[in-house]
Amino acid sequence: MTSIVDTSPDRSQTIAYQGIGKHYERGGERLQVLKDCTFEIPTGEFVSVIGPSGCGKTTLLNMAAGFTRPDDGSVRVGDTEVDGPSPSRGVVFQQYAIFPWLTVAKNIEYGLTLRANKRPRSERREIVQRYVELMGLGGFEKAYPKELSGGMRQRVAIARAYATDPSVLLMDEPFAALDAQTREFMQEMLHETVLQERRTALFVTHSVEEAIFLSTKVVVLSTRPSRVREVVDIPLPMPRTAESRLTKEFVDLRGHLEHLLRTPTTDAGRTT
Amino acid sequence: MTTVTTPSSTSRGRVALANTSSRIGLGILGAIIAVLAWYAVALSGIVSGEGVPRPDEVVRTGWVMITEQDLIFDLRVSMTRVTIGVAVGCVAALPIGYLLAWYAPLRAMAEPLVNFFRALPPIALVPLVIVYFGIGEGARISILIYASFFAGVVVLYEGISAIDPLLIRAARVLGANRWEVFSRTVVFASIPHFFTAIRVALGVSWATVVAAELVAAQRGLGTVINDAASFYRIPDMYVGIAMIGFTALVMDLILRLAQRRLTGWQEKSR
Repeated sequence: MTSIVDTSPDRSQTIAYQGIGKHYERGGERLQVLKDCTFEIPTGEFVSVIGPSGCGKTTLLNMAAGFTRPDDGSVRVGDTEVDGPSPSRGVVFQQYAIFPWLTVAKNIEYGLTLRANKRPRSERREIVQRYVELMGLGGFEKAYPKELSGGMRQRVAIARAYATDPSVLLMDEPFAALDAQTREFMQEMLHETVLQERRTALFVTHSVEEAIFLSTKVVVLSTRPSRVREVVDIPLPMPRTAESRLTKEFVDLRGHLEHLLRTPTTDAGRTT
Repeated sequence: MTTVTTPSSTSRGRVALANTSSRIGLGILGAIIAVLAWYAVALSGIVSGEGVPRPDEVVRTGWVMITEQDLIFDLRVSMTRVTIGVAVGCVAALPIGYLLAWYAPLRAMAEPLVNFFRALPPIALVPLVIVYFGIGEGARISILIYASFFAGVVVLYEGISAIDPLLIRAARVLGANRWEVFSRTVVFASIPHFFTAIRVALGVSWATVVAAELVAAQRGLGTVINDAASFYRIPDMYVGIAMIGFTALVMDLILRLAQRRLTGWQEKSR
């Protein structure tokens, strides 16, 4: 268990959740999803959020993305409070959400052709080329999404999110729709990319294994109304490889996190 | 490419088709069955009175009408009317479709009205059109515009409001402003719906052309049918009806080809 306060000097990309509360109305019933939820994703770290289903993981991500507002508390990135979507916060969605009418290259380029982020043509071409290579999409630049597998579509979505050079990256179960094998491959690819790009990232997932493999810290949420139950440091050495999954530390961490998810929360067990 | 038809079950339990050629083949088979059924009805004499002319009689009558009465000219006249009606109707439906899809209160206000006017049979409007627009070409085309507009606008707003909101979210987080969300995302996502709207409007317009040509038209396929009815020339009526059906079919095919070209990026969920 570690402190959740970022003490590093650079806080420019730190995502800070402070006292977040959120409820939904469902069939006339008030459903408190999040309650007094506080944690930080320090600049340059890769933090996963896991928790029982329906605990509000995606809601937390949507708040950082600017799609949803908290009832109570605030979400800040750097010094500014989030109050709407912004290209400085890249989002990768579970269902890919790449534009079906654009080719792979045009999808990656999309954000760079908008007024908010406009770049000259030569620079756009360079950026697209760079992420095409990084994401292993070479040879598919002119392909349309319908010609691609799920894994490739998600790589396009990740490349597109990176292309506008966001200061933070928010990923909402990006690999949930993929088969197990593709999933591991994508985790490794994302890990390599993150090591190269050094960007603050929030990653929401159901998979404990995925969270450990990718993250520097894992935030475990309690059952509804969710608070932060524990923030677990993942001190596995970088870069992580397929072998990392077999080490004793990895297996121990997995055991600990799975135990946290399985056991019901009591107030005494909560970390705030 | 193989022409062997290999129906295979889809996950929803429906039977899917292997390829385009088998679809064309089955389409032709369906037409052959329909013609055979027509023969059966015509020869059996179960329709009393004048009876039903045989397909070959209708084809022969059609040939005479083409060579001696310039039936092709009637076809062109009707086609021009339908094309103008669909073009004007759909172009007018486009902005209205966007507005209704975008602003829920506006849609709630307009939806009952749209369904009210859409349900009115065009033939019921003919007397009113004559009163207000006279008996010129404009009056006839206005009926077709009316029919196209209401058919098209429903398809458009239903389609546009069903555009995946995730695509709009994706555009917004990439930095698109309101105008860019519309011009760079919504417009493209609605192209398939625009094609569907044109196709539906075209179908409705051909179905309306007989009513429209009741407005003192001198020529046109509708007029051919109306005149044939006045003189009790039953095979002529069949010729007019078949010509409308065929022309509508061919125009729809052309549109579908254009659609496939322009929206080749679309995922097929047949």
